[in-house]
Amino acid sequence: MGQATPSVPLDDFYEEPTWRSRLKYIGRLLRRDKSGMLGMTLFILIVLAAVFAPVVAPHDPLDQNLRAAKQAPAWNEGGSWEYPLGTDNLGRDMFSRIIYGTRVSLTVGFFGVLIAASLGILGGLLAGYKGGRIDSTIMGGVNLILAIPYLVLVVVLAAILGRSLIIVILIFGVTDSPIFARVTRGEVLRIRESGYVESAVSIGARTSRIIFDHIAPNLVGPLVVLATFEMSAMIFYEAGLSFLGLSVPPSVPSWGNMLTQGRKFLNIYPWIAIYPGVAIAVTALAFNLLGDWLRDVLDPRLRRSRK
Amino acid sequence: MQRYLMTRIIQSILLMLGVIVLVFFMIRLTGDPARLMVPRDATPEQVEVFRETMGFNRPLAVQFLDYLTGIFQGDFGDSLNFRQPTLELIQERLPGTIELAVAAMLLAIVVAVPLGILGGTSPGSFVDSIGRSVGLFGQVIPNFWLALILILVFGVQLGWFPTFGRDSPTSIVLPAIALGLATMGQLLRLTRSAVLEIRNEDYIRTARSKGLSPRKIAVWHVSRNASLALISVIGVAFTYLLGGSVYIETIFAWPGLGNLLDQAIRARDFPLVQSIAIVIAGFAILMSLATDIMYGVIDPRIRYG
Repeated sequence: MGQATPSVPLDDFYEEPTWRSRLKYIGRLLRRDKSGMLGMTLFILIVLAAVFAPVVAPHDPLDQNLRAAKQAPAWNEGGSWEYPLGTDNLGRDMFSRIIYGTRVSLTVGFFGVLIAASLGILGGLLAGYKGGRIDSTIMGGVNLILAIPYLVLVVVLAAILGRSLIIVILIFGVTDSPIFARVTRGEVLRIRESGYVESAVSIGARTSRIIFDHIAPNLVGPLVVLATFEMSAMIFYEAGLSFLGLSVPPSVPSWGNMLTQGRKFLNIYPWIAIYPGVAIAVTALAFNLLGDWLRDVLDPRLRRSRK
Repeated sequence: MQRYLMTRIIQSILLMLGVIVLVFFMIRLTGDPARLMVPRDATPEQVEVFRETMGFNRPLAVQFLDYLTGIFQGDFGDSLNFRQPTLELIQERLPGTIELAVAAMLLAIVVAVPLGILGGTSPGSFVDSIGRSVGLFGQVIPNFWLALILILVFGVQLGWFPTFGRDSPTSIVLPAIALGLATMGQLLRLTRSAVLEIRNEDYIRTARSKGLSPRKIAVWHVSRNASLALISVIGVAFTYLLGGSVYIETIFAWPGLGNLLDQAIRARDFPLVQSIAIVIAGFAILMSLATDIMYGVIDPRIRYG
């Protein structure tokens, strides 16, 4: 409608995006979505808390000050700003323990998902692209693991293999990989049937080119979103395992271990159980808001329907 | 339909066999099941005696065949701790777990479905924002923590409900809420998005243009199609509730399978752990079979697909 045809080829206007322009673009997307902004802010704060735990935490998380044991949070009667969130039954600073607990949760979440995603994506790509017997073998294993309710599977494995951070991460990594395999396979099958792959094949593109140039970029979106949600799920399950006494040793300040401690004193010193739970919920909130936002941003079909 | 049924049943049987194999080998992951099950301070002689009585010194294939034939005859082995067939223990506890899971599921459906439909038909409204908050809460609040908070507020401070056991009719209230919240959130989000999606379908436009009242459209077209999406999720969610009750049953001392599993693990009673895992997985497989069959009955596209 009255639009002039550009006299210069459009390519002249196209600039390769720089990191700065990309960051600016992400910032613009975030400003448009308040809950995405909240999720991103919380996420950054949590990561910073984990990385700079020794700086942020006012006390050593293992330091026992029995004279100040079971002290209430600062805004309650008998509390002081020396221990903002109070102290536990051994006089350890709750706030510092929660800050250090971030490290355990994020480590499990990050490395658990890293292993699960690597195994799952590899399996899913093989199953989806090769098909046939490889597909049915891999998917048979996937369905088998998914047939056992996840919590039961993880609890039993942890009980057999013992308590340590590495074992917990490995258990989560292996047991969670079927979900990544299933999603990857589904996406590969969907993409393989799409028009652009068909046209790439018809003009004689090599298999490697099809996988890396056409299939892989389309996998990134759904898998990044899945990884965000799975990280949040793993943080939940780690805390749950700790709660049952099956995760990291009791001496390690993890949120689940703190909850277990707090449960014993629930009636008299409730804050020992309340704040670690708040930490878990806030972390889960951050990952979920971030995941929702990523899904909106990375899935162009959804983006169009939102406008 | 018959062919679809047969395939699904055979798949389920194979899956069940697979689970038995998996659980059998899981116990042997550390290499020495005898060491795993005896108390930590047992002498090497005691371990040897135990190995002998449990038959762990026989070839693996013999052990497995023995275990498998036992299961087919209804013999899942004896509990080390209770000195009683594990299946008897499980039969005692199963009703408790099912009761709790059903209560949690009913609670979730009763809250989630109406809120989801209302939210989906009028997105952005006040009801919708309540619904969305419930959905988010279900996603981010760990059920074991919620259980503690419920005990603190409604059990200790207000004294409205019992906080442990299964002795009075109101005992189930707090555990059911703690267990059901996550499923409630999940069903709510699903119902809402299903309704939102269906609103844009062609057949809704057709219904509207032929002059049907909004109420009739909501009941006849929207609800019916949204229920398809719900059925597929309710089966999976029920399985989650059966397995997810480990924390909740432990916290509320609810006499169910989850509580039994926790006890068994603490006592290193692995024959019992094995049996519980197999029974719960069996339930999950049956549930998913039932869901698929129901889905096939309701939606003809599935059974001919």
